Amino acid sequence: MMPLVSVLLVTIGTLALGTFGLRFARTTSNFFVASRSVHPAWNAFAICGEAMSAASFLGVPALVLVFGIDMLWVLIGWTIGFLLLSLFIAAPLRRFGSYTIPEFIGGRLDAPIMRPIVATLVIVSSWFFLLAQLKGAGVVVREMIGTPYWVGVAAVGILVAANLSAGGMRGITFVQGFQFFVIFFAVLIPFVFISGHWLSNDDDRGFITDEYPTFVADTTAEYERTVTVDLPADVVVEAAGSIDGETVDGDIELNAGTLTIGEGTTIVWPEGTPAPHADSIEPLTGEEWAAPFNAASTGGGHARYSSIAVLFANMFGIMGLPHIVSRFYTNPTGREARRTNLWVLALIAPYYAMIPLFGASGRVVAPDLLGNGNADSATVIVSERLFDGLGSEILTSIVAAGATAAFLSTASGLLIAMAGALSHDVLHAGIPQFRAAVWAGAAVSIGAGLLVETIDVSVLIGWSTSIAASSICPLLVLGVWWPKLTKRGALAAALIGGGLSTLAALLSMVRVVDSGWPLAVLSAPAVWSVPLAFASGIIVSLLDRDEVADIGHKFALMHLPERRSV
Amino acid sequence: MRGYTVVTDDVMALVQRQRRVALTLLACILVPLLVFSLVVGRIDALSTWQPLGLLTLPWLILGPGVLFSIVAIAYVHERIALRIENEWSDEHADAPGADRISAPGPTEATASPDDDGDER
Repeated sequence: MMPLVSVLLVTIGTLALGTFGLRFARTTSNFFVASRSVHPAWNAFAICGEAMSAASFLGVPALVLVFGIDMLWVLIGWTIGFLLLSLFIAAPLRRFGSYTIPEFIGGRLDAPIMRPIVATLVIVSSWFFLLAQLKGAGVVVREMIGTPYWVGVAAVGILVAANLSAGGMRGITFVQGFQFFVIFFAVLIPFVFISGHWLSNDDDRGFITDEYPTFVADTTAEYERTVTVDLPADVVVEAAGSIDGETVDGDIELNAGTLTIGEGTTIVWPEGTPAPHADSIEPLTGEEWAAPFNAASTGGGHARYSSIAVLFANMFGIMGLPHIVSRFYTNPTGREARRTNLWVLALIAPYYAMIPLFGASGRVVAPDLLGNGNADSATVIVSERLFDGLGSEILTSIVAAGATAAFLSTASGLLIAMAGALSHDVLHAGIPQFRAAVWAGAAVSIGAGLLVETIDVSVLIGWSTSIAASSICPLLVLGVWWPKLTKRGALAAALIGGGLSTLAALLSMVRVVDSGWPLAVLSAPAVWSVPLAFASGIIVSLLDRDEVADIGHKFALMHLPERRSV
Repeated sequence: MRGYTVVTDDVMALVQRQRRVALTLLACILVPLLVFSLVVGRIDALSTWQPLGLLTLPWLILGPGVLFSIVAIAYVHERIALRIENEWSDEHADAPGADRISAPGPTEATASPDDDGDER
């Protein structure tokens, strides 16, 4: 009951603030860039609200639970990505003064043709990210309230679209600021209690042991979809549903080996049983899980390469993610955009430092997540398993509120980036078309969101960041810092980087290869597609004689500081 | 532009200075990370040492260690970038309004009708 109340409170707060934002939504500038009047601190809260997404709140703990320390490279990549925004993008982009990334690229290169092309990249990249949020919504709402998966997906899509079409960027800035505080405290409060639990002497179970994960108590595991698992030892369990195609109801002996557990099956695993794990995952002892470059299931068995590739994809991906970058347009000046990003880093680093504890704890108290295809719910389940009674319920409710805020906030930013690109850069239209684009984007995303239930949040995020890193990021960096970038060079960078990373994502999705270096190269393409995009942009520009006119003026626009008031 | 008397070379000199600072600071975080990733897997004592009891040294380095170092680097960049801009402003702001950079025609970037926060 309490988790339901907390989810409803966040939803009502979101709607109330969205309604409050209505009064400011009058002009195009209000809708796209919040009249460029957002204070650095509040803008940082809003950016953090966007960045603290289902990917970090649910996806990273799931990755840490399964693969261990190597997944910290995801968080490091994101944090370095924000540093790169400070170093290279925030201030110049704001000073140039566009409404959207496609408009910036079109203006910087005197190339209106680039606007729909970059808009397409923005929409595709944002769309994969949005699907991850909707998937997170479906999982969390089902876990908390017991509704079918589609309820969370549809509810979040409609709620976010309603808020955005009413208040635009100005309205959503208030909402995202509020959601940031909900998310931050939803991590901080359980973190204090969970770390207190592990540091106290009451619990002698550790993260780093020489054993494979085992159930520490009789554990009821629900299998919401059909999974194939490897069972390490013979065991007698109580089960209801189907195992290896046979209907079961009551006590049954399971033999070590591969099992197919049917959708809707419930199994009570006895205390002390080694946890079954999905057959695609290499089981790790606690020591292997805690040692760097040991996650043999990642990157086709090349864990060191995979870690570096993850770092690359995420650091350059953040730099090119439209919903993050476009928020700098809402600051009054370039200096304040840079200061905003410093605030963002100061707020997000502690959050990222806390998040892995949920995955590590989940490995000890919820090892059933290694095999039931539901690792994305680790953050929500840990408090429930670790504590008893009212304390457990309160902490679980707080986490549920945070998860709700996480996918609402990020989904808002993504939908505004998509609708802005579609209405402003493709249709060249105003507020009515922006509203129509919001609802169209939401409708398509809800439909697709229903189809991605079996795809991990981290996979969807990986595709999104790969496309952003390999196409939008090179355009921004070269556009801001390299005066010789030409229209054709930009086109080459966007098409080669974006095309190859999309192709790699598709090929790894359909499992053209399933092991070794080919899988490593295809599953984490950013490590080669980003340098390739930069190289093609530079080479084609150097060969191109059609240089951009008035480059001195454009660079002055981006780089000259605002005058200090005397 | 923005009240400065400038020629393109002045702008490019500013760009070059800011770019050098940014790349140096980026190296300050990437080089130690690279060294760490090369060293840590090869020295068992480093990988298994548990200075605070619960987690090993790599968890502490790749977790709070790296994350808060990045914040520190961003803070240093904010200070240096601001100082460079202020110095540049002081050197070039003696003739407000005299814009010697050729004024372009309206571009895509300047086409937004009701942008009220910008000076273009």
